[in-house]
Amino acid sequence: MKRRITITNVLILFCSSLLLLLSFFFFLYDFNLKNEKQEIANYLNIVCEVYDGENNEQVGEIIKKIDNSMRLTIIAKDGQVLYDSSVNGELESHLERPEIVNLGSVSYRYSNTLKTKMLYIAAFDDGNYVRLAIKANDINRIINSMLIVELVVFMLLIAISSYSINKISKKVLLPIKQEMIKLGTIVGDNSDYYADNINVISNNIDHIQKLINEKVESLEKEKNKINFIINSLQQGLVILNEDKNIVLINDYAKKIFETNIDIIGNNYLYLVRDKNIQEKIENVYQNKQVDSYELKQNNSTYLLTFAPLGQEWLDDTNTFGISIIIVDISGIRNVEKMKKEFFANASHELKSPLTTIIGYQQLIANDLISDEEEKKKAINKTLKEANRMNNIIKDMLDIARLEGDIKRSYSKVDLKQIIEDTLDLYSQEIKENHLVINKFLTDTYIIGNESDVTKLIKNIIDNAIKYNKKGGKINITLTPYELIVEDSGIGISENDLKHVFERFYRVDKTKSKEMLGTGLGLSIVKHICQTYNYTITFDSQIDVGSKVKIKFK
Amino acid sequence: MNYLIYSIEDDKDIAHIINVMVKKQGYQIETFYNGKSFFDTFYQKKPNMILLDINLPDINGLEILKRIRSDVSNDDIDIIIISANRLVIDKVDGLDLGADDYIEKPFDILELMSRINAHVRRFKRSRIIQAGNVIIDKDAHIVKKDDQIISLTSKEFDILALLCENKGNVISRDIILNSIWGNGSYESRTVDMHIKSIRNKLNDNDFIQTVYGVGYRVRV
Repeated sequence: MKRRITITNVLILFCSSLLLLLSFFFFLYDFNLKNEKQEIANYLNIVCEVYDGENNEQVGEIIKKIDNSMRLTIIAKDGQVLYDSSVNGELESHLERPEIVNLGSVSYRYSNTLKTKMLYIAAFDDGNYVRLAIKANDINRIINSMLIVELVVFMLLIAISSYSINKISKKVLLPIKQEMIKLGTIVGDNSDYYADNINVISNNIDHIQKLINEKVESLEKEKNKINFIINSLQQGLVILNEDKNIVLINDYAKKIFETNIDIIGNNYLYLVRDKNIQEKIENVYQNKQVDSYELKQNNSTYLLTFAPLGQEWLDDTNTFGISIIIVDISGIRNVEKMKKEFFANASHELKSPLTTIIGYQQLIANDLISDEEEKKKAINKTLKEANRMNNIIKDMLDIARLEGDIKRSYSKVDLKQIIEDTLDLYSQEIKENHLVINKFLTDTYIIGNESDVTKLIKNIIDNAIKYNKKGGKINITLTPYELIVEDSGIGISENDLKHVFERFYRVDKTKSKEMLGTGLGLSIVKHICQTYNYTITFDSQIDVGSKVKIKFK
Repeated sequence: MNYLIYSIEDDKDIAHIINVMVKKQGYQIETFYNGKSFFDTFYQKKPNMILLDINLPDINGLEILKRIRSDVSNDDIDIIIISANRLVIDKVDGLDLGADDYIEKPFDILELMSRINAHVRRFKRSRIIQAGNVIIDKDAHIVKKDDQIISLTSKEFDILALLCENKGNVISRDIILNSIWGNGSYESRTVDMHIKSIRNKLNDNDFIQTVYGVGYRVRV
């Protein structure tokens, strides 16, 4: 760039100087010519005054005295040269000469005879043409010599100006060059070459702008990504700074605190209305220790954890903020509640047989039963109830196991075999009650847990036998992959149907007790179906019977 | 002994056990397995005591309790709750609603019997009133003064019993009238006349004091 400046400057200098010079020369030339023309015209006038038509040589002498180089030529009307002061001998006709043709006007031309530029002028005087000729000033020579001087001066000028311009522009351009080097560095270009080309500045600036745009864009994307993540969390997140103002809050938290407005920057009191939570927050600011609070809201329970944030997160002042994390623990609390209920129910259920056992035994122990028959009955009752308690506990353990996440082993299960085995197990009861079993069993195998499937089938058949009428029948149909057990038992009313799968639900408590029922049979069946994704349907009609259908796939 | 207990318990075995025990103690007992059958009989004949199970098939035992206690004429029926609920809150609820005692299942039958006996004793104590040298047996309908039987009319008996039950306290004529004769307009002089007769028969004019303008009082 510096070169360009220098070159341009020099060029301008050169051109203007040249122009100046040329115009000067031209002016000089013109001026000179005019002068000479006037001079020769003046001389002609004088010559014409002196010439009387005959004193050719006299006049010739005179002009020779005036100017040695002046030449007089007298030409007759017919063109014949009568006298010439410079040339002797015959001369051709001069009639055609321009100065003759145009009397009074100076003709400026090269003379072959004298080998130089001459000025000619003629007039008609006293019967003849009087023509004067004078050597033109060799103005060219002057100009030429002037030119050389000019050239030298000119070169000098150029040299000096080049140098100074160079120096000055260098000085002026230095800061720009430095900035450009800097720009080049930002852009990633370290070559010095670029620092001289001023076009590169705009390129670099464009480049930088592009870089900035890209950076801003990627920052925006990052910010959006983080925002998205924060707001997609299924937990609430609120961050308070050392001034107890809200620095960050995600959508989940906004929903919990039931606010929609933009509260970033506001004090937390705008967000938290619950006095208990406010107290907790203040405590954490005071004690710098983690704290928590359970919030019950809208049928859900949330655990709020308050933690002091290290100063590295916020800034480097010696203060800190607080993070509030909100987690929905309704599920956990629900499960806890159900467990509690189950235990309460279970202990309740176990108290009845226990009361009976203790009661009868105390009667016997205190000799309050005298009748032998009655005593026997009491002892039997005790045994029966003890067995029932055992059954209840076994069933409860089954349910607990089913609910737990225990690894279950799968194997090929022969459904037909299980049914046969179960019926064998109950052969005594079946005989005692004169029940008729109708089997329609096809070989069916499924992949499942053998023990649980056995339990399932056992409970269903158990019910069919327990709640049957004397001499009643049970129809068992097994097809791939469906089991139907139908009994002609006492049935269940529509009202009770909806509760049948509930734990410890019994339609007839007395009958159930008699049959050593636990109230958990169908509950276990339901659990197993849920665990292994079997579908179960249960229909019943009072006095007609019940039908259970299980789909294993 | 003339003591009637109603037992409301849906578990037949437990009901049977209670039955045996109570009978052995010499009380009369009738067992009901649900609320409906209980109320059917209750309104015909009221017992001295009710053994109440809370978990009944057709109605919550506490409802039965509330219903019984809503009628003041049932106030002298002792109600003992026998329940499998053992939370303190259940006990508190039961007792606050008007039960006189609460026993948890499984219970020691000897304990149950002792408690029943304790309630019977208190009842009995309320059946025999003593004031000075006068003893009134409500069940036997006998008044004795210094071991001598005094013969009173029905109304006289009732008035004397009322005054002795509240010995030391003044009972106004109106209260005496309402308690003994019930509602209806009676001549207030009736009371005075009965009192006079009682004093005569007791041969003691100081036993029943007259508090002028207020009523009568048995001295302590």
